[in-house]
Amino acid sequence: MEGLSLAWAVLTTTPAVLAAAFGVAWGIVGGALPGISPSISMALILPFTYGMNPVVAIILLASVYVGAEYGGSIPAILISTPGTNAATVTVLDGYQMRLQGRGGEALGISLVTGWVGGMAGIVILIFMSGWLADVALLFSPAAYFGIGVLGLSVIASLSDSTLIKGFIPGILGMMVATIGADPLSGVNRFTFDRPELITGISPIVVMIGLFAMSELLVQVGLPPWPKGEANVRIELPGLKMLLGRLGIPQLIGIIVGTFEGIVPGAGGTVASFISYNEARRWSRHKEEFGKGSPEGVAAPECANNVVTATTLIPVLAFGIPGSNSAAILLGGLLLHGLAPGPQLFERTPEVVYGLFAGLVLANMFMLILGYFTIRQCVWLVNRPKPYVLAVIFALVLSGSYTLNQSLFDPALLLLFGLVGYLMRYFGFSMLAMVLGVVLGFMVETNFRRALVMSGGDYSTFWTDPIGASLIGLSFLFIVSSLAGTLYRQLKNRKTD
Amino acid sequence: MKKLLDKDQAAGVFLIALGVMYYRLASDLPRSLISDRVGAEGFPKLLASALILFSAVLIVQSIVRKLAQAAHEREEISNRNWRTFAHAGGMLGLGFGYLLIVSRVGYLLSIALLLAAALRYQKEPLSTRVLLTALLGGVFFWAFFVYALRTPMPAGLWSALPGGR
Repeated sequence: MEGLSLAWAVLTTTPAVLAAAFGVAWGIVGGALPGISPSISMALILPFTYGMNPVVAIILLASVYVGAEYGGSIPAILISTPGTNAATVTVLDGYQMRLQGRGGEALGISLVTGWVGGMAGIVILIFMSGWLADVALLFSPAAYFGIGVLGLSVIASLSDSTLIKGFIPGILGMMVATIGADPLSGVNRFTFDRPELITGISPIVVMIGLFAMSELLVQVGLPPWPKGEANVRIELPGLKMLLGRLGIPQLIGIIVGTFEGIVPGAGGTVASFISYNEARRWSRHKEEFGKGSPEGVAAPECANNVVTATTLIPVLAFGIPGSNSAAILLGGLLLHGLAPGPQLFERTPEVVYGLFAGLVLANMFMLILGYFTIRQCVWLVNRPKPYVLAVIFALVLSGSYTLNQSLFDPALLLLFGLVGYLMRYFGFSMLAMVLGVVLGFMVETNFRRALVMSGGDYSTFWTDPIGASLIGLSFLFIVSSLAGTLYRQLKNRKTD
Repeated sequence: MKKLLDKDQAAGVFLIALGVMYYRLASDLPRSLISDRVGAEGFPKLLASALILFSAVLIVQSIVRKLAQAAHEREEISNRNWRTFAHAGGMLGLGFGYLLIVSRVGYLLSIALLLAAALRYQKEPLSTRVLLTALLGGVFFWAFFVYALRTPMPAGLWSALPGGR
């Protein structure tokens, strides 16, 4: 009941409703633009949340994520170009439906099943994050070191090619995190007498540079985006269809989305692919998949919207982002001085319950705005690419200046844009670097604190039951990822 | 022309050099009187060593893969890649150019110039549309940051304008 009253207070005393509406609208537009992923849409708006009430800022960011996951399906269905990675699988049946003159029906299914998934995800988030945060209350510095290591072990699952290409950017990220005053002794590290570096490099600048700026640099060299049909109209599925033929695919989407959202490193893209595959396996109309099956749109769209909520579970409970979008949301929390974990639930419950309420609102707005603004979205998507990119370029440079009102931040942003661009070229994982930046401080500080408390005795890391379990779990995670990679390589070699 | 290094080897060599440089900088860090046992330099040294080790593994992996592959399968830094780099580099150059002039000529004019330059760089022909986008875009950005977000933006030559500094 206390949670409900806190949520109500946030909704009635702050501009949270406006933030949710604007965030969803921004997210739908961002998601609908090919190449502008949910994380980039969130990164673009992140600097502008700086002066905002923290709850409103977090609601705004979460709403962008919700809107973008739906927005990504618009170009996937209309022009066979997924606006987001998670919408890639929606192309398979969504675009076929559009070719059959059923584009409006496909968009309606995407919108409604996405809403069902989003609401289901919020219920799971509310129950699980509070319970996990209670568990986190028992944590010592050694256990926090363990949780940091567990977060970093996510890196093992992030690189498509080799484990090394996940570990290297993770280390580079931790190296960035060491810049600034040492947390324990106060010694300035790698600041090169620049006063701007004494407080360290803001993870926000790193994230916007790596995700948004590098994408812009890539897009500049690519051909124009294809154009969408201007006179499209959404047709919502009836209750009979929703509970009948689309019932099982949605249930699959909810189960897969819950699991993939909680497991770090998986995210909406993996969830949508797995749920599509499972929906086909369990369907009575298997032959229709790939040829315009409504179930082929419902399962992935439901799953990736479940993930928008469930991916927040490890972020809120432990401060571990499992996806790019979750990393940006964590950046938003850090930007406002909010430390994720049990302290967030204890000291600032209004942020947590406000976020839950904001997510419910965001899903409602997604349904309303998604339905009524489809033509405006298609109009925006059809703007010439050079104009869209020029405006985004001006926006990121101006936005990063507002963080500290210093030209040092936009310069760093350009630098990290270049780093991100090179990382894409060389096949390194950018999320691994972000994880390094975000978790580096946590790992180093708790490692050293644990040693100070134990009088320099390293056995503290294996005598603390929670810390030892988490470190053990991290090793298991890395070994299983390694085994999975080796298995796939052997399988591919046999196929060749 | 046969390339000396492939992508992974080039990245590995650069990262090893970066690791060595970072290790040396970490070794030069002063020792504080209130420092703990690990010290301010302990974690950075560990990271530098790990970076050097993993970068060496990356190079070895690449060499082993190269030996197993036919010449035509090798992924090298081709001339096409250099052209793509140059394209991205030009855009970055525009960004740094903007940072160089913004405090002198002010935010309003420099953001309008940035918009126009970014459009021209993407081969948009100089037209009324481009000029209007730059002009109206510049005014919109300036009004948005100065009035809506109340952020003082560099005024430069236009210091008489409200909201500048």
